[in-house]
Amino acid sequence: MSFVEFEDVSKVYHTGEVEVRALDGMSFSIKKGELAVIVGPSGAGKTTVLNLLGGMDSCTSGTIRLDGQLVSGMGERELTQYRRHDIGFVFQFYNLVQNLTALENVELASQICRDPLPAADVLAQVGLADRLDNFPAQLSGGEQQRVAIARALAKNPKLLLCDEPTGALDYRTGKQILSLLQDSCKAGGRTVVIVTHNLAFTQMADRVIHVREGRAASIETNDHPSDASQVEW
Amino acid sequence: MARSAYMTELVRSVRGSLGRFLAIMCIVALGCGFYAGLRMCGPDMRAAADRWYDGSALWDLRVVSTKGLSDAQVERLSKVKGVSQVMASRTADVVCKLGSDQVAVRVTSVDADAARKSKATSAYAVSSSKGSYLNRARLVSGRWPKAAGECVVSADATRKIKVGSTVEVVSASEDVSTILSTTMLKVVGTVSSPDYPYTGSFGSTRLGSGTIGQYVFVTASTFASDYPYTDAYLTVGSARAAVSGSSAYESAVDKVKDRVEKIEGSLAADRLAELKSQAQSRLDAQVAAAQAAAAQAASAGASTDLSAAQQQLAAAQEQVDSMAAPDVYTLDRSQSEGATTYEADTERLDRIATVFPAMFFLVAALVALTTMTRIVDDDRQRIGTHKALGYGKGRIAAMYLGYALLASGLGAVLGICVLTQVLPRIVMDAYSVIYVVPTLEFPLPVDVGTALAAGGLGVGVTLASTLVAVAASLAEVPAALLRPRAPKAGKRILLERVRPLWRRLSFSWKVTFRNLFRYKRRLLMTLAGIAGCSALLLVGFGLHDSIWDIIDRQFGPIVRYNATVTLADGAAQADVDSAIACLRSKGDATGIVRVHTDTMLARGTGSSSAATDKTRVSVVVPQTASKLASAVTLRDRTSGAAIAFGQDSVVVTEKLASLYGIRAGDTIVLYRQDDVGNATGKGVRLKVDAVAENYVGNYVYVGRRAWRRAMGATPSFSTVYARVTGGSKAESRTSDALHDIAGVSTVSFTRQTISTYRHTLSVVDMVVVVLIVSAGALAFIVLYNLTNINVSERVREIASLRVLGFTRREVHAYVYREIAIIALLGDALGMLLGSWLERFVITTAEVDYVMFGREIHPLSFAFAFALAMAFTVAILLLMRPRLDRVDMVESLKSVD
Repeated sequence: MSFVEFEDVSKVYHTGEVEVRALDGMSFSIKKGELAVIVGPSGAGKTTVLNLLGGMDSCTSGTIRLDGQLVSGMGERELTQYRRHDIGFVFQFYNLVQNLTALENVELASQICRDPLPAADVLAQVGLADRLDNFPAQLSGGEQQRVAIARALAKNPKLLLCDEPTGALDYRTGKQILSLLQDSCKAGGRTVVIVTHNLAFTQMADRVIHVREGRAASIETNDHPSDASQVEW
Repeated sequence: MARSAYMTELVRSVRGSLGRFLAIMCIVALGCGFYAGLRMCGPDMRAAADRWYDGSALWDLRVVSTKGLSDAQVERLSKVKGVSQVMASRTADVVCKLGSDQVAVRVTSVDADAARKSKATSAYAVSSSKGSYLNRARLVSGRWPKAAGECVVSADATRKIKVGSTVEVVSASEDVSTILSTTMLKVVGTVSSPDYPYTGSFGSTRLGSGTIGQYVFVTASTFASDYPYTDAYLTVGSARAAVSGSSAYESAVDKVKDRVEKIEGSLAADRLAELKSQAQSRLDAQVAAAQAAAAQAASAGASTDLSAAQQQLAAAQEQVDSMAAPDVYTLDRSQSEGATTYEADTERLDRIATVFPAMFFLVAALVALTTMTRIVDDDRQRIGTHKALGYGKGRIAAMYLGYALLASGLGAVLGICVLTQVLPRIVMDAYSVIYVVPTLEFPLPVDVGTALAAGGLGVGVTLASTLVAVAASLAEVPAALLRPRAPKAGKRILLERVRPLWRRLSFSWKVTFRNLFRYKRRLLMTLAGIAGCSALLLVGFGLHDSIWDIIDRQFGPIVRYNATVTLADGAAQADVDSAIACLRSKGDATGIVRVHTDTMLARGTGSSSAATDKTRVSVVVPQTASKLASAVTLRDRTSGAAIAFGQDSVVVTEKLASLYGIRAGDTIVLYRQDDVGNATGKGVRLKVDAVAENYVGNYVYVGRRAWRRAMGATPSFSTVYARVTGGSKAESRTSDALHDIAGVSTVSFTRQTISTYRHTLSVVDMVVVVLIVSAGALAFIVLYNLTNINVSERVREIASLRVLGFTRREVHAYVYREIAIIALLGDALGMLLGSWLERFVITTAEVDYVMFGREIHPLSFAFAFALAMAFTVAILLLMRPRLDRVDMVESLKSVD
């Protein structure tokens, strides 16, 4: 029984009179506790997968399941609850609330969900024990992304969904963030999905889903993923 | 090419931020429109009056003689240089019976022939082929009088008289038969006269209550055959082009007035000579008759009565010889009550117009500043690109200045065009309740200077704000501009020091508080906008309170009597007793107080013009000091404490005291007045013991002994105040019975006064509506703009929150809580601002004889506060879809 399941999912956008088929029969599944990387060039449908899996949009046809729960077909209200309790989202540009400290940014997420992890502990886990009271503007990019990851983790979500998590970071910092994500998967037993255009990330994944023209072009499993610190790009 | 690229950019940026563009445009429209519109109210009203005065050939100068005028003097007046036309007429004030009341009526003779041939060419002009037919009234219904005993009455009087009815003249200051040839006047039509623009009072008189309640025009034949002309009306051609009341008008009239005044003495001497020769010839005839009779008697042999007759004739001769010259006065329009009341009202509007718009300009500046700052911040990259391409600062700034100029310029034109038409119209309509001046038609005139000043202010304020907003960004180097602006850093606020409290707050509250202090300009703009809104609302409700309080507090709590009975001077004690008995039996009257009343002129003791300008006051001297309290409540307004009144007391009412800055212990000077209302004599000085609450009229209450000391005489106490119970029926029953008693001169009831006031004050409700509407518009623009900026600035944040799983409701709360707090604060601030503004408006709008209520009722505070909040909530609800439309995908986008 797979944890995440996309079954023949299509998504059609209408912009004006033009019909854009962003996903065209996308099917894949991810097992619980896996670190999956969804990779592909721009325009292949990565972001649409992210939007659908993250509960930010609904698909046109097909079924999407998370942990046996049918996500496709959820209404706006149910989707909000789904995002609130089941998904931890890590943005490319962190998206921290500038006016809240690191600790408060984490608490911002944890205060709205059912059984959150203690915010200070999570921040300590990501190595920011001594930056709790700093505002985002006082943190470096890597530190900000750690706060964002902590914010996602503190919600104790079923799925950690990351959108180009190293996209705005330099190489060294990017690697540290990848390690942190791999850690929370391996040590924390959390299912992690990373959406990226960077093929190098495939080395550290348990499962790699190549996306091309709205379909899963190939799915590979990697029995011995390399350590994130070994990933080179 | 550069120009067209510039225009293209300008048009695109307007289209790209239509909401902001409209916000700037609307607030500038509101500011400029209010300024220009309110500024034009006074001039428009004066222009309307001037058009009417000119169109109906209203007099510029009026010459009055206490012993009349003859054709010879009228002829002399027409020869004075500068005088265009002269019309002589007869006027007399009489008391007429109208229903249960006796009303003072001004009877004026009209050139019936010219009047009949005249033609009303519009609501404001009456044409006549006879140039010397002046003060042309417009026939409203019926026809002009033809025969003696026919009359036309005012169509504008609050007390209407039907065509076909008959008005009975009951008394006058002298025997009615010496004035009129008949006492029954048949009403054949109604007219509207430019000499009486103010319906609240057609003038003052020595008869009855002191106020003319109706005017009638009759044929010359309705006056007694030997009743001379009383007035000569003059027009000054050179003053016609100027607006009545303006300084140009006054200087033109004054030149002629000076010349007329120079011949006043010789006119008086002329008149005296005429009167003397008339009297002499009458006397001579008598002497001749007496001599003839004597001769006859002598021939009959009886000469005993002759010496007595001779003595009588000698006394008569002496009387003729010692005949005094008449007083001749020259009056101008500033001495005409209606015209001056009207003009004073328009000047009051001018003063109010200087304060109100300031608030709108302030808010306009803040709106422009925040909006332009936001636009410039959004455009960082474009500014950077332009700079990198080598455009100069001026060229880039011109782009934003162009945008601001376009928005504010359009707003200014729109606001000025619309509100200079709408506002004066509303104000004129409101005033038409008490003034019969025909209002101007659309399009109303727009003074170029006023329009330019308003537009210049609005556009200038916006451009200045834009420069401030642009300057900061232009100072940065292109490289810095091409990078996204570092988000405004979070900051700790003072409240966080209060750890226990801070820890208890949820995040949205923490963010709310931090945001409040993070965006100071926005805080200020919203604060000013909402405060302005609630202040306007409070002014509206407060005005309503203050004005209706006049009636509610004056009649009942302060003036406890509702009937005033005046007896002729020197009425017998028995007549007074029977009048009082009648009040008791027919009207179940209580609180009967006998007083002496007199209309005098008062001034303060200082030497400044404010202290020496005299005000008409009613002096009341009760026969028994202790009884006054049952007719009039004398109390201090603030403490409510009763004021003791004794034989030696002098109490002045509050408005009078404030006009001259009089407090207990100060001195007031009272003068007697002559026929045309000028002060005579040196005046008497009275030491004031207390100041009493009062709203309508100015009163000086003087104890009997104090009065005798000051005036050297004991008054006649010919007025009786009483409280008649049993409503209007009892009042008319009592009135009818009183009129049958000898010596009773007038009977009046406050019921009529109250209804006149209610009518007059309904003007205010219109103003309240205008204020509420503009308050709503102000709130809308400010909150719309604020929410718009708030949302667009925080799109990422809002999108992220949605991704994190915040529900719509939670997002609304997150964004709106901040606005709601500012709105609450602004609303509270507006209460302070509003009470201050209301006080200003009240004191500016007050007339000399009325004091408005000084308190705003608690309920009005509650209403104004709640309504401002309701506006806020409504606008926030309206803006909700804007928040809901924020796409979650925004959170994935790069910062640009």
